[in-house]
Amino acid sequence: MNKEQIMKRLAVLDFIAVDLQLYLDTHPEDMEAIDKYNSVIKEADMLRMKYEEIIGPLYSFRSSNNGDTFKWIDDPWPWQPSANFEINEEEN
Amino acid sequence: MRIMNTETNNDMSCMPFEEYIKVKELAFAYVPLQKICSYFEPTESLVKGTVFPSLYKPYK
Repeated sequence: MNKEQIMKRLAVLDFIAVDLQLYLDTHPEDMEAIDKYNSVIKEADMLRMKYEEIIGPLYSFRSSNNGDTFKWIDDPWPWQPSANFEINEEEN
Repeated sequence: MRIMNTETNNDMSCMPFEEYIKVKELAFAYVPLQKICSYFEPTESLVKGTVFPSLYKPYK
């Protein structure tokens, strides 16, 4: 999985997690939704760890593997193309 | 009052909302609790803007 694929997958998973959380606010006992919510969150967390090991910090205030350099500064700026990705309709 | 179940879900095990609303009292509004029965695929949900098919209403 390259950087763009991970970023894309993370964006998708975070989106779903928020949507499910909103549903669970009003349906806290919906077991099926809870299972789906837990699996989405678990996958997203694993992906985040993988991303931070391979590529770099995802958050400027939460990443640990800096060693003796401040890795955050090496990331592209948010508006730079390399920090973004395309999501197209048919691709799943 | 019978409400048409417009959502076409194949397995009848999951009913998005009650078929019959017992009219409890005159002039009282009542919103049937809706249960989610099916989900969009991951990337599809981000493209469509929701995970819940029943909320997806594009203006076409």
